[in-house]
Amino acid sequence: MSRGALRLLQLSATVFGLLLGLEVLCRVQPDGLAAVAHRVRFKLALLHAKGPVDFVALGSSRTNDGLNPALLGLGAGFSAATPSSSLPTLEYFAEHLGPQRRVFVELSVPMSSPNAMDLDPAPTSNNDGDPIGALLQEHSALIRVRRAFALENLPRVLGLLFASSLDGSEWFRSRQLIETFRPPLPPPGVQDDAAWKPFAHDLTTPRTLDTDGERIVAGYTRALTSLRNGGAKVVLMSPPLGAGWRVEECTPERIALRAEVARRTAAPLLDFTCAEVDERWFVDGQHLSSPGRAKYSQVLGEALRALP
Amino acid sequence: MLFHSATFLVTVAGLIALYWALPWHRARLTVLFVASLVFYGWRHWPSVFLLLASITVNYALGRVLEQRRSKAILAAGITLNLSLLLYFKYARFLVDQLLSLGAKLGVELHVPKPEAWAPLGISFFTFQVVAYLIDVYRKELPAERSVLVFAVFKSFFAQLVAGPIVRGKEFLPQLHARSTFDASRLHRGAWLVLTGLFLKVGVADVIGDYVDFGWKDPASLGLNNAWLIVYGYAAQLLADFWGYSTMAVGLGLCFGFVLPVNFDNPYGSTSLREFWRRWHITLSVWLRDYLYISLGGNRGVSKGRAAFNRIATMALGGLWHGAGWNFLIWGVLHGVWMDLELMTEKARAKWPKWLGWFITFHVVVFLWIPFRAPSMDALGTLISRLFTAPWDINTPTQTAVMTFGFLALQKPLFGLVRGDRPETLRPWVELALAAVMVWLLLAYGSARADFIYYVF
Repeated sequence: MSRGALRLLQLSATVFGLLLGLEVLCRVQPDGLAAVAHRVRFKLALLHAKGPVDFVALGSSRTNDGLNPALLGLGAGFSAATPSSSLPTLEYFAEHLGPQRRVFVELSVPMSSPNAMDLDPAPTSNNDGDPIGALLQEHSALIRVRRAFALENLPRVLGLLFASSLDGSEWFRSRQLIETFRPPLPPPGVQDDAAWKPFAHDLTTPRTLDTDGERIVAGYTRALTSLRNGGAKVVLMSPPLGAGWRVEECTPERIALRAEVARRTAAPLLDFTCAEVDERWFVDGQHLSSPGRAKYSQVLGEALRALP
Repeated sequence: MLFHSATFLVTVAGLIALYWALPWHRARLTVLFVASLVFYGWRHWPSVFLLLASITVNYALGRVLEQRRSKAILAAGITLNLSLLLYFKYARFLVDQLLSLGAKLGVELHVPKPEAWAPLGISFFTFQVVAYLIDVYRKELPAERSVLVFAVFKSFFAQLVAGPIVRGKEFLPQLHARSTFDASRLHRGAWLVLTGLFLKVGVADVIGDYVDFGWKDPASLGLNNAWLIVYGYAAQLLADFWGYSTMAVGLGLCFGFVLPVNFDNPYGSTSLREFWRRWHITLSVWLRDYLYISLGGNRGVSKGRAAFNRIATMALGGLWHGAGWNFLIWGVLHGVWMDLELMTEKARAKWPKWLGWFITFHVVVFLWIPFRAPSMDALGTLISRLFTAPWDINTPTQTAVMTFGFLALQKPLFGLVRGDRPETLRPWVELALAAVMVWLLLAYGSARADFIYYVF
């Protein structure tokens, strides 16, 4: 065999061998790789790998950034909150969480979004005029979970290997990298302790909701029913917001909606949305900074412990 | 059919095997011709008839020109080819301008708008065949006698829709020669196809996702993200077109043909004139040989006339990319800057090399802004965002890393993406690089519909 032919053979064998090897790997380990490929699946896999906990928190990036399970003082906890969550995400978590003792569920605008959850986030190719591409898209396990091989997702493999020492809040935080190297100090001279109080909702009076409100109530009802079927006590909670973001979430309609969700699901609600806390606790008005996270976790822990 | 579609890659692998398995040269050419027609008509089959008509007419024109060297026949041939280009590519734009002018003057015009359909790659194959006719007329090339060879020359799928613009002098002799299978050449071709695919799907399309997103609503961009899409588009356009051209050259090698290289580290240029010797080289050479020199070039004419020739050539080069004021502006600005470079040549000779590179790179990058702008409004908005928008704390990290990483690594990348490169690499280095490219393609690849230059 000539040198050129040998090099050609080696190149072809490397390319096709690698593709074939990865396809086999994806078929042998579909769940593990699917967990690495998608953050919702990853948090679920992390929780299952960690084992039983005293409580689980579900929510969007606001809870993921704002809640430190270790500071709640309620035992071993796990934050399954995930950025870009929506109502379908909450329902997915509720169905797949398994039996839990207590679950704290974020009730907010992001969590009320109807956005469908894309569990196979690899950008779908435009297969117009590409029948073989369409065939591969449909039948290849590798194509489905190829995002598992992205560099930024590889640390998730380590996360799954060392799940017992993690509480879920280590992942996907907005300013994690910056705050690791430069921890922000608590804002100096802030005197807003009195503002850190949950809103006192009237949970006895029924309200009439529009179609979108009914959709949200129905979604939360389904999710909470699933969680309760697994034996969990459920508490609804809403992290605080900066003044600019409060404008949208503190209208009478939005307040009434949160109250109605709590009333119809018969779940306690710890609603800090409209608490007029200092702007400096946030990195961008809606996500708490590291000191804000410590403050909210401490206040929420006290409120949770005070519940019957 | 798209180069980066699975259907194309699988089909072309089978085609290469069939091509080399056939012992007869004519049979091989026939296979290439039929495959080229299928490739061309895959998404829009009526285009095939236009291509067939163009092959027939230009074959006959070449033969007639050879027998009777007549300027009138050459002019008729060029006019015929250019009028097709004019009709399919520019008629709609011209009618729009006419209607808009009529509206401004208060005159109601009733001009039917031509259909929006434009055959793929018409700018490329028109320029290719115009060059062929001129070369035959100038007696620099004998008219092709074999219809089959001429048909493959005109339609070879590797370079049909987005170049490189292959000259008859380069390609026709290769089509006549009966080549024997050469594994080294196929190896070089496979390397170029892989690297080209990586540039297109793994770099250009990944960056392009955010660039497209940003251009959809430039008013929503923060200062940092407005600058990111400016640099991002410079990176995307190079990776896209360089990736396509690399795949085309690689595919040519797989069938035993050497096609001209179209890019040679253009962003490393220290002047705009150098840039055009390194960017879309086959178009630059075409414009120089068949337009700039025909206009009078810069020899034996006044400085003013030479400056005009450069601006006119670049303006037409801009319009070649598409019917729009933005392309015209882009071309004219390139011509004007080249004239400025010539006027300041003595002063610039004293500058450090890095300064020439820095200025040239940024001139090129900024001139891509009108080139990419979907409308004059969007152009104005983006330019104002570049200087007045507030900082956006959400920067797409992946796009930023990819863009600046790709732009910073131009020199080593151009060293790697060469046909003869794999033979100079140690086998394990080549295989490791191939594995990394496949891995990155899988993890990050974002296959979009088309190559950018398909629409030009």
